[in-house]
Amino acid sequence: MYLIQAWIGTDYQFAYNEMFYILLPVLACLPYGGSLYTDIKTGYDKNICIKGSRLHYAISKGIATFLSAFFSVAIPLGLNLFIAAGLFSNYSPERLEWMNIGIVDRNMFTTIFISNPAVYCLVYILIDGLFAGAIALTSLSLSKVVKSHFTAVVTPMVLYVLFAMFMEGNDFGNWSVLGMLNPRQYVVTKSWQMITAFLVILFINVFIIWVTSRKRDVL
Amino acid sequence: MSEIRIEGLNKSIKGAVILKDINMTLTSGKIYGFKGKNGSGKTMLMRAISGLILPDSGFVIINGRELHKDITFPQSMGILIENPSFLPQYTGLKNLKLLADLTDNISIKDIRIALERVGLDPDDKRTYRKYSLGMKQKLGIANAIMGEPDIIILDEPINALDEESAHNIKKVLLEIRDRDKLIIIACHDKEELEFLSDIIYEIKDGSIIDRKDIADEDA
Repeated sequence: MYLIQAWIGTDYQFAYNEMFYILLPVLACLPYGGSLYTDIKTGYDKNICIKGSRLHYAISKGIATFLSAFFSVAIPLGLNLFIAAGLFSNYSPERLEWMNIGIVDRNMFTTIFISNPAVYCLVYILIDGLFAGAIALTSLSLSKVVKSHFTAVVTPMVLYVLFAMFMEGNDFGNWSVLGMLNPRQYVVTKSWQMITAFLVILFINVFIIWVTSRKRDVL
Repeated sequence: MSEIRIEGLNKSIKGAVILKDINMTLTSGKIYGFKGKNGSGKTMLMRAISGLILPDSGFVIINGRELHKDITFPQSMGILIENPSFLPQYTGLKNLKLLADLTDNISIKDIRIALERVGLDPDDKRTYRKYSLGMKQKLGIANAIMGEPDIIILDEPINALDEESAHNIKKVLLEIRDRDKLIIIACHDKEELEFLSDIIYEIKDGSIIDRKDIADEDA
């Protein structure tokens, strides 16, 4: 067995891979995504808004949420890779193995995948961490409209899963965010599409947070 | 010397008129009492003065600078509006330290003094979640008075306090007023309000219907 078969990001033999990537938005939002909702609900935001600008408060929340989401996704993936690397060798997989995993010539980072699979895994840990940060901001941007902490944390997952189902069911699978995060690359995405998707998620969330924070009543 | 000037302030929330053509000038060295039934608009007026809600029309001008135009939040203000809210996993001292860090002018010594003045032990190792209702209220008041800001706004400050603690808080507020600070309080208890206040504004349905100068009456 190779490292690339054992790592959760490229494992195709069990359901762990699918489970992890469906639950990734929840993992990302869990540490800090619901914190703005809690601050609003308990009235703690009043303590902050009286001593500083709302915009600075929103920026601080955004940075904390992004970083905590990055690490909450990158650490388990990295730890899993570390353990797998202690048990299995970093051999380049056979061509048949690529196809089992789902990687074909037209996928991204194929050269890295062939030459050094561990580096391929690290590249995806970085990508997944960055997307997790952007996805967790969705939780912040929903804080003013959701009715519970649970909803604030879970709604981003529901939105991204529904979006993935819609895109993959309508021949736009290469725009499925959850699909493009999976290192198995079962949807064939180009790097420009990945960068565009990341920037769009980031922009929409930052815009909503900026608009709702700047001019809002703190009740 | 602090001055709050309110001119033609109006505010509606979800179609309901909350504040209607409020005009008043408040100066330092006095305690202003807001009197009125539940839902009369006392708390909303306090929120408007502290910059927590944005007026539909009219201005709140603090020391010559218009709120939400020249300044985004009051520069030297402490508030306790409705229930105190702090982070449950930290002690009172740690909670106040976190909030004091948002400004540059409140030292750890100021925080310890504020806690002692309201009757809390700064070295109490209990976390906020283990505080009694009265202790939570005292911590809220300590948060409002720490560093002795120029303007202090307290909504029902002696609610949930025993007689001795209430007496102590009243004494502290009068001392602070005598150091040329501007204090605004709302209180249901007419006697307490008249004891503390120099001027009382009566609010009904979002409008000021009466202004009573207690100092003149006493003379």
